[in-house]
Amino acid sequence: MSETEVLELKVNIDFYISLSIFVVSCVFFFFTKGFEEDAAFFPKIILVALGLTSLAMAVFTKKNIKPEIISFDLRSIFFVIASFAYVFSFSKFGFLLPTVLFFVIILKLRDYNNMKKGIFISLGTSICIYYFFSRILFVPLPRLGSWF
Amino acid sequence: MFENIFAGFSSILTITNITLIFLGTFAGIIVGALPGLSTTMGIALCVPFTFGMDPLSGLALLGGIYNGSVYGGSISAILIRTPGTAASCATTFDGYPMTQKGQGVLALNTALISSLIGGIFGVFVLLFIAPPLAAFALSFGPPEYFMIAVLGLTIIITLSEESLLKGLIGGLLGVFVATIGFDPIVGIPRFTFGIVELYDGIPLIPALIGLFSFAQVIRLIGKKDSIDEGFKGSLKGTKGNFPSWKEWKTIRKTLFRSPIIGTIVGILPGAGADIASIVSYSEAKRNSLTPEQFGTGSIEGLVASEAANNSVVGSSLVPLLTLGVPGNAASAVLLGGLLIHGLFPGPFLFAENPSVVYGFIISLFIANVAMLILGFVGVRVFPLVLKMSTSLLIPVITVLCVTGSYAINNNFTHVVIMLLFGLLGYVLESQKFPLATVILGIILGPMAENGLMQSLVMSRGSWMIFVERPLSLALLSLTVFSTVYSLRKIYIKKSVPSK
Repeated sequence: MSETEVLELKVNIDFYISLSIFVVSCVFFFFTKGFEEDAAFFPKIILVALGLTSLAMAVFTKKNIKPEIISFDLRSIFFVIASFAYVFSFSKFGFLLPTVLFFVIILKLRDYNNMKKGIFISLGTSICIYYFFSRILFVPLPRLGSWF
Repeated sequence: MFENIFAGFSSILTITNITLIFLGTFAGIIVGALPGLSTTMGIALCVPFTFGMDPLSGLALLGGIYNGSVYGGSISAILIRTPGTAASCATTFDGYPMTQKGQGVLALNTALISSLIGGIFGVFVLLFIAPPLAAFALSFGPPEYFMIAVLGLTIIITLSEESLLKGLIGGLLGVFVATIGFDPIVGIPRFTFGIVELYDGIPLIPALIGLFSFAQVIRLIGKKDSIDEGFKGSLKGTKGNFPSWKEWKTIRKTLFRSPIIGTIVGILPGAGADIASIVSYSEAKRNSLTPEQFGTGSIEGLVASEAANNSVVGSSLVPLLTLGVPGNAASAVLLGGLLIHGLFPGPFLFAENPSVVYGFIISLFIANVAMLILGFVGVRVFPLVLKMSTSLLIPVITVLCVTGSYAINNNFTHVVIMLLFGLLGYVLESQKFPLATVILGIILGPMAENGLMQSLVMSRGSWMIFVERPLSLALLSLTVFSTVYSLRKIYIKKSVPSK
């Protein structure tokens, strides 16, 4: 993937972040209606404070900050998707195979020069991490077939 | 008392015990450096190994692990911006920027020396003034804990000088996240949406790993494939690798103040090294002549965090040994270690088993020396990770983040939480929201809520309880003063026209 592939947007991102936080505060405040009074007391205080500060920020940024060009490297977006996919496959297919594949995908994403070396390092690192966590620290990492 | 100290010395100074202290410290450093493996986990893993040992040897091993792991967390915090333990979260604020400036080895050595000074101070306090300190700690009730949490949260003002609103939003977000899970008073689940794994709340370590480490990895993926300039020059020798005389003069006040802060926080049951390091960091920034450098690679910030968190090791054992009340999770596991060997903490422990108790305390001194030796050797090895290509470092860090988050409870929900917090951290940090305030909120939120709700139950709903108790009133006054002082500083700074 080329280094220059970016997604550019012209937005006032501070405004949208603070507005999102305000909306989320309102939604969660609504959820507190279903709690007992004692249980709802502290979260309500925090959500009101959060809602007010985020609203203040939204108003401030709308008035004083102009939209600016924000660029997202497509590789970052792909990396996040790959990470979620890795975690999902880790839970289903065990630790070793998805970890090796994840390494290879990331090296490919980064246009790593020596892929043969990269695959070798992927295998070695995955096995070392697996051995260290499962045999020395007794952390039972998922194994292939454990989900059957 | 001095006869008992000499008796302790003679008990601990055997080849077996010294070997166990070194082994424990080494294991502790590894456990601390690996994200997801906590101090508590390290001690708990080794308690069974002590069954066959005599009590002092077993305790010496566990004490070595405790001490080593608190320092070990700074290694990954400095080199790869991943706090190995929660106690090192404040170390990432300046430790990693120092690495980015090519001062990785300087940061590691400074962290080691600060940890040594803090650790020895904490053990010194434990050895000589444990009983009166324990009595002082007992005078803290829910109102005082609430006021400490609020005082800690006012640190948000210091940490968010660039944009107070963003800092407040970050802090409040963190406190809100801390309310997810079972309510501490009534016991009903809040904001869990039926997800059983959230009943215990958002776990701190995956949140930390996500906010700092995974967010950083997302940022790194778009960077050029070049070797990170983690350090310049040689790993050997002292030039550039140790603080200069000028830097020593800058940090000496912080080196004096931070262990005291860490000790005070450490003796309070429920307040651990993570709170100590953040409070110390904030105080260092507030009192610094160059506060604008904090967060960009200030050696003062690094010293503040590391000196405070290691001083908690000794001070957290004050309530444990004198009253049988563990100061934090790690000392709670140590309590288990004591009980297994037939030692019952409390007022009579020092009188009935002086050679074991004093021997254990002295073993912590030796553990600090072991930490120094092993740390100096390790500093020649750890920075080699910075020579790795970024393309290789990214998947290694990601896999460690995932495995570390999973290892806490063998739970994939924690891994997903880590990833989500990573995304949140990436978005917030790219827009200059200070992540430190989010972490502060997550750490102090539960203390604030528990303190507030229990206080209101005690006072039957009256808020006057916070002013009727002298200690609480003192803390409230300190909070008000601290808030006004910090706000005034920001106001003055912003009203001075820039050149």
